[in-house]
Amino acid sequence: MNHTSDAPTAENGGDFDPQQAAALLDQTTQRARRTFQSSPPLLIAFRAVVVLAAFGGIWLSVRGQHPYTGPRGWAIGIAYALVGIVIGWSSVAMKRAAAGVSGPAQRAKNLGIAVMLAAWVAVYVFMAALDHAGASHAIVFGLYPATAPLMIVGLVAAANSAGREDWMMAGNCLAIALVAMAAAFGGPVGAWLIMAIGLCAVFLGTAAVTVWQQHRSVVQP
Amino acid sequence: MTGALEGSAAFDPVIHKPVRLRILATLAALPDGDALSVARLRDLAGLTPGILTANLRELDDAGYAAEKTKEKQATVTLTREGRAALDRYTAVLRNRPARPAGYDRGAPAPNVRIGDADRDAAAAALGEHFAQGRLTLDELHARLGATLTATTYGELCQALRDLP
Repeated sequence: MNHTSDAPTAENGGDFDPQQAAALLDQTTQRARRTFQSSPPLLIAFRAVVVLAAFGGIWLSVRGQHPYTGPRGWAIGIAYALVGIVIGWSSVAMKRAAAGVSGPAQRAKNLGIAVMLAAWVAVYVFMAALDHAGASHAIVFGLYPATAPLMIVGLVAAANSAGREDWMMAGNCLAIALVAMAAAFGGPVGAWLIMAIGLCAVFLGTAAVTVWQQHRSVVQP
Repeated sequence: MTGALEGSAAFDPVIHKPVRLRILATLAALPDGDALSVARLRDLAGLTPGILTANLRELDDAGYAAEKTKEKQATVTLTREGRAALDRYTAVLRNRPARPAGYDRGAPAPNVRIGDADRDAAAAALGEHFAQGRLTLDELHARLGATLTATTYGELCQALRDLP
């Protein structure tokens, strides 16, 4: 336990220049941050492109519909394909970041993902219930699917991230939920466009903040 | 004041070594309480098993890292003491003057006026030199007096003369 007798020598770092130490500390920290980052900036930027293309494509397919009938098959197909790619890439990135990592924060993260998936399923079950109850197409295939899933799942994920004190993720999820809330006032057609632009902006902002966080120095304030 | 300087400005000898600094900085990037497998730490830090084991033992002895074996997998966690020690170490690095002594390439001219941050950083550096036995208590007091009343880089460098 007594390490104070470890007098400074060349062998134990006594000649270790403080400027070299500062550079090594920064370099190692930044590398570790990148390694343990489950959502790398490139993936977040890709999510921005995907939401723009998916929601934008659906908006293109529904604009001008009178009465509103819902998104066309091609738009839904593109959206699902893109979301599938994002889910695949995200899974690989998360698995890579979490390799060899264990502990309470990791368990809480896994639990949070399970809760998020459950919320996602519940949202779509409720959509089926709305259809069954005879709600209009503008609600069941417009306003509700455009906004409710990300509003509810975003809030659940924000609460979970805040519980883990992952403020960056909590802010990101809250911003997604806020965009969805704003989009809910855009009507069955406008909601898709607001979601496309709003979510794209949120993801691009998150990517920029992530890059800054990864490269910020721990030594230089 | 001397005690405070000694405590705050001296580098922790357990951490002030490239290998251990690399290990602690890697572990500190994980959330509090999370563990990393020794195998992955070895890959990330680019260390041989022997060097990693020896340095982990030192960190374990100092109470900065805790090694555990669960289901045949060895893991290592940064302890609260380890995180606090790394924070203190980082603060010492942060408070060091960029190049306190001499008129190096890129250093300000001797007649350039200095601020409180420069005086504080120089005082912290003096405390570190005292802690490492380069200055006696009397010399420390004399130099601290000169540092805290210095108004230019020239006067500050004079207070830090002949120190590495």
